[in-house]
Amino acid sequence: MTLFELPIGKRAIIKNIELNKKVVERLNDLGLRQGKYVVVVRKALFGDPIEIKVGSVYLVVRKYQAEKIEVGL
Amino acid sequence: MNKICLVGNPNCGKTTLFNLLTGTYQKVGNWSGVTTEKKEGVYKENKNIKLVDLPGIYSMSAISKDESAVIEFLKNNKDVTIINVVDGTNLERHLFLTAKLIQLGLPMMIAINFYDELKKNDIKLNIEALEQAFGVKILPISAKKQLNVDKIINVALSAVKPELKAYKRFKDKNAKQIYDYLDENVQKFISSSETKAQQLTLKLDNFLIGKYTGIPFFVLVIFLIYFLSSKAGSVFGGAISDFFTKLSQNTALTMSNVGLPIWSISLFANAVVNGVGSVLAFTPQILTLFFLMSIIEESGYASRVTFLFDKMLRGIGLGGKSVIPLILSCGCTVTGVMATRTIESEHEKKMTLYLAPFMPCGAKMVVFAWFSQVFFNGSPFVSVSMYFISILAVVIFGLILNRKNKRNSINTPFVLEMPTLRCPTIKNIGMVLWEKAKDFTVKSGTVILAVSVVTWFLINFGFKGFTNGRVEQSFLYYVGNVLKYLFKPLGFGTWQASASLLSGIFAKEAVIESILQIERNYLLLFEDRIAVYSFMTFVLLSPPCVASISTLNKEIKSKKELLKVLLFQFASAYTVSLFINLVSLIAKTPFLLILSAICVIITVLWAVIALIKGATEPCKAYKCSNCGVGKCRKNLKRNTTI
Repeated sequence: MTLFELPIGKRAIIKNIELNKKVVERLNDLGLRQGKYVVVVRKALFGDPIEIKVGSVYLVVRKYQAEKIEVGL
Repeated sequence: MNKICLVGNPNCGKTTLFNLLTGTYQKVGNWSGVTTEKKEGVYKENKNIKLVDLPGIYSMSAISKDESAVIEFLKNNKDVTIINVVDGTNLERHLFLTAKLIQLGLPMMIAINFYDELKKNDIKLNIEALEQAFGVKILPISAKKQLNVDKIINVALSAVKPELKAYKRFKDKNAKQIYDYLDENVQKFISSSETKAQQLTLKLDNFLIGKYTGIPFFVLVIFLIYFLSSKAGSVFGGAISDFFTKLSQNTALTMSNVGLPIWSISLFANAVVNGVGSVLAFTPQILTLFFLMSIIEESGYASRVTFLFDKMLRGIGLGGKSVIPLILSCGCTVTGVMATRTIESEHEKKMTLYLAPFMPCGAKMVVFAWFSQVFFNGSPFVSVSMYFISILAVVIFGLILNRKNKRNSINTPFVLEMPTLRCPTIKNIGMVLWEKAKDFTVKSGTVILAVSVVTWFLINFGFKGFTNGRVEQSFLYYVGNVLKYLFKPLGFGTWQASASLLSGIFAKEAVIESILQIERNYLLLFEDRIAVYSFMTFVLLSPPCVASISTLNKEIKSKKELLKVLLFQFASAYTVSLFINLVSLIAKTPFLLILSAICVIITVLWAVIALIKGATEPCKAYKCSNCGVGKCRKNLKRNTTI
C-alpha cells in the first residue's frame, strides 16, 4: 500500500521510496526513511498535500510523492 | 579562530540566538543564489568576535543552494568555530546534521535550544552521554528565555576539534549508518516524549488547516493585514505626507524670500522635499506589512498557509510558498517581492516574481479610488473589479507562462516541515524590522529621489529652458506626444494621459498628481468611460513603480531576466487594456460580442480545469519526481532507498 492510501491515524512502516535519488535523500534528511514509522495526520482540501508524522517531526508531502512511498502495516 | 558560525536545521532558533548575540551589530546581505539572507555581525559584548549566521540546512549533501553555500563557506573559512544549534524537542532529526558536522573535524560545540520546553515537560537530557558520543562540549540553552546565552560564546571560544574517539566513530559513516546509530542510541541522550507545545500545535492545526476552517481563517488574517497596514499608511503616512507638504511650502517661501531663482525653488521644494517625503510616507505601511509578515513567519503560520494553497497554485507553476508574496503584493509590491526569498524552487520563485506585480498595491488603489470618484460616481464595484482582474491575470498569464517555462523548471525536491507553533519574540522581530526599514529607506529612497528629480526636470524644462508652468513647452510634452500613438488603440491616446502614465514609473499615485498638474480639464482626456476603465487596467497590470523594480532587480539576478519581466508585464497590460477598449466596439456588433463571449468562457473553463488538474504534475514515468520534461526519463537512476 502507498502512503497516499494509508488511512488517517493509522501507523505504518516505510518500506520503500520509489523516487528520484535527490528527492529520496532530501526526504531521508528530514526523517522520512525506510524502517521508520509514519502516521498520516491530515489531508488538505483536495487530498493534496498530506501532513504526516515521522518520529517527532511533522512533514508535508505532495500526493505524487506519497503515491511513490510504499508502506506496510 | 577569528569567526564563529551558527549552523543548524531550519527552525532550530538559530536566528533568534544570532540576534541576541549580536544585538544591533549585524549586517544583512545576500549569499549568491541562496534563498536566505547572509547575516554577519559581532558579539555585542566583545566586538572583536565575529559571528556569522549560516542558512538553515538539513544535511551537507549540496542538494539545495543553501547547503552549497554553507559547504562553500566552510571550505573558504578554515579557521572557524562552529556552534551547532539543535532543537531539543526534535533531537533525533537534528543530530543527523550534527554527525555530518563532526565529520568535518572542525572546532565545534553543540547548543541544545528550547531547553525551557524540555524542562517544562519533564524531559530529561543526558548531556554526558551526548558529550561522550559526539566528543564536543554541549550547552543547553533557551534563546527565547535567554538561558545560558551569556555563557555560549565563552564555551565556543574554548571549543576544540571533536575528541578522536567520537571523530573516528562518525568519520567514515554514510547517511544510513548515521541514521542507524542515532536510532539505536537516541534513548540514551533523551527521554523522548512529546512536549505540550507539540500537542497544542496539533490541536491548533485542526483549526488553522482544517478542511473547512483553514481558508476562512486565512481570509480573516488577510483582511486584518490589509486593514492594519492601510490604516498605518493613512494615519501615519498621511501625517508624514502632510508634514512634508508644509515643509515644501515653507521651503519654497523661504527660498523665494531669500531671492533664489524660481527653478531652484521648484527643484528643491517640489522634487527634492516632496520626493523624500513620498518615500518616508511610504514607510509606515511597509513597516506594518513587514511586522505582520514576520509574525506569520516566526510563529510558523507561514507553513500552514503553504499547506492550504499548495495544490491550487501548482497549476500555475507556483507553489504554496508563493501565497504570501502574492498577498503582500496587495499591500505593497516591494514587500511581496522581498518575501519571495523563502521560495526554494527557482522556477516557482521566478514565476512569482513575474506575477506578483499584477496585484493591486496600495498606490494603485489610490488611483482607482480617484478614478471611480471622478468618472464612475464613486461606485465601489469599480475598485473591487480591479481585484478580480488582477487575480484573473495572475491565473491566466501564469498558466500561459508556465506552459512556456515548463522546459526550464529545475527540479527542487518539495520540502516542507511543519514547525511547532511558537509565539514570536517581539524583540527579534523588532531587530529585523529595523534592518529592513533601513534597507528600504536608504536604497529605494535614493532611487525614488533620483526619479523624482528626473521627472521634475522633464516637466519643468524644455527646449526653451525653464518652462515656468507652461507645460506645452516641456520635454514631457514632447515625450507624451510621441507615446500617445502607442496608446491610441487603448482609448487614451492623448499626450497628457501618456505623460501621466510615465510618472507612474516613479510611483503609481503620481499618475493622479500628474494628471492634475498637466490638465485641469481632465475629463477631456479620455474618449469615454471604457477608455477610463482601460486606463485603470493599464495602471493595474503595467510594470510596477521604481521602488519595486529596484527590489525585483535584487531578487532576479540577471538584468536580461528583469527586462523580460518588465516587457511581459507591459505586454500583458497592453493586451488586456486593448481588449477592454475594444469591448465597446465589440458590443456594437452582435457577432463579435458572441465570439468574444465564447472566447472568455473557454478561457475561464480552461483555467479552472488546468488549476484543478495541476498543470505541473510530473510525467507519469516510473520514479519521476516532477522535473517536468522528457529528458527526466533518461536521467532517472535506480533510487537508493536507505
